[in-house]
Amino acid sequence: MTEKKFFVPESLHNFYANGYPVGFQFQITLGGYRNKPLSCIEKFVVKVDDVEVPANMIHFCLGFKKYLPHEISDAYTDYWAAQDPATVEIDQLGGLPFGEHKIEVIMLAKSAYIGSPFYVTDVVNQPHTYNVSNMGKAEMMWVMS
Amino acid sequence: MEKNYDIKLAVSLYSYQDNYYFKRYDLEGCIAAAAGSGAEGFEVFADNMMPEWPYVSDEFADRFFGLQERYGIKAVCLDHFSDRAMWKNRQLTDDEMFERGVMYLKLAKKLGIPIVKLLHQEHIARVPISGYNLTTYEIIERMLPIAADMGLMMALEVHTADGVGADYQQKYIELAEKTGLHNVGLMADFSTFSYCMTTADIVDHCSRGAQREILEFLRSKQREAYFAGEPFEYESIREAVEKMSPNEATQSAINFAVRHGRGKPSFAQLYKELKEYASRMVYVHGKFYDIDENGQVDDMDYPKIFECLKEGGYKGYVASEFEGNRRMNMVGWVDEIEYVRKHQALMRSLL
Repeated sequence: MTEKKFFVPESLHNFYANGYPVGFQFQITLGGYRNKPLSCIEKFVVKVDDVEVPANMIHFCLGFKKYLPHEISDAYTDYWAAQDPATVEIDQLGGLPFGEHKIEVIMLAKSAYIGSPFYVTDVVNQPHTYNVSNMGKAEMMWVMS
Repeated sequence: MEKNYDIKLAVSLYSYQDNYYFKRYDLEGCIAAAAGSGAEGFEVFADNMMPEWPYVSDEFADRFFGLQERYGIKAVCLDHFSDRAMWKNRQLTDDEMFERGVMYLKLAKKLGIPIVKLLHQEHIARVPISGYNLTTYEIIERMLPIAADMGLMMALEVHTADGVGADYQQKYIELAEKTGLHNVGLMADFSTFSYCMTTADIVDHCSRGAQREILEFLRSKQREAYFAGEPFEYESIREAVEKMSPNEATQSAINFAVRHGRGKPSFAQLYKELKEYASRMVYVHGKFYDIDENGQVDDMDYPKIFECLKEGGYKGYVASEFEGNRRMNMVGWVDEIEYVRKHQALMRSLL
């Protein structure tokens, strides 16, 4: 299989400050072949175990730059390379407890020249879902270890 | 390695997109693969394989020139996009589209690439299918003197079912003639000459649950019609297909194929026009999706297409543009390197 996965497998882990877990992070990819201006990403929401993470706790990271969700679509001149993962950091004192968690990302990433909104999903055989309702999501169950 | 033919061969690095995505090959690897296929030139997407786009450094440019020296292959075409929808709150204005267009021209000039494949308004149909205007005639008119000043050619890719002879494409040829600035021209894409559903599409549709038997039946009837020199009429097989009880995925595949063929001029006319326009075309995309056991592209008549290009006096590059990867990669790794190598061998045999 050469499926382009939205979530980078096994990328979920807690991160630490002074030896204490202060949050968790995971990686996602854009798929496709073209790099995308970040201004095309009009919505970025993360849910953990069906609970929406407050936007001020989310950092979308590309290279050395970090963006709050509402800042992503203002980054007109920054590009997300199709084959390079972005890191999503979530601030959470104590990190994500060990065990099974459901991580869901709802990302509206429209095409820069066609304009249609689409979601990158994790569904086999359906890497792009076009959805007229402007709602779509990618989700997957991960086990913290 | 440069050869002494009027028609030269190139590879669009788009053909290697999965190798690049999965990091089997970097830009250098893709250039090396293109050179290894025997091509004399390559085409590159800045938006894909140049992470510094749109502001490419001198260091990158130096390395880019160096790679061409190392592998004995020339960069011949840079791909432009019409990103009218790239901002969140509004569409780009024509002025902004013009400015972005010029950015591509400047990059091509900096990297010594002579042709910019430009995504023009009538790229895929008489009007853009998405509802967003692409790069319009008026914008191209403004870009033309700049391209002329830089010594670049803007190649407008005709990706439509009715080809380079369509009436609504002629204004661009007239623009070059009217201004005396021959820095804009049409380029054919072989997808115009697809006469049947490709085996790559069958793989793709079947991976979504379509019935192979029915799609192969459709394909065989389309081929029969083409080789008999007759137009394919879906109505002639509709009853037979319905008896085979097509499921939803199969019906959707059939609908797409039938819709694509609707209103298409006869192949006799398309070939006649290809020959007629060949000497004025500035670049060509050798599109292909799959290659059969005889080394032929499975849904296009390459011997006939090359005959038209040669007899019509085409002088320029034909670039391999493999798109079977996007159709077949759901069922396994598609060896893009080998596909392109076979495609180059086929085209070389037809020169």
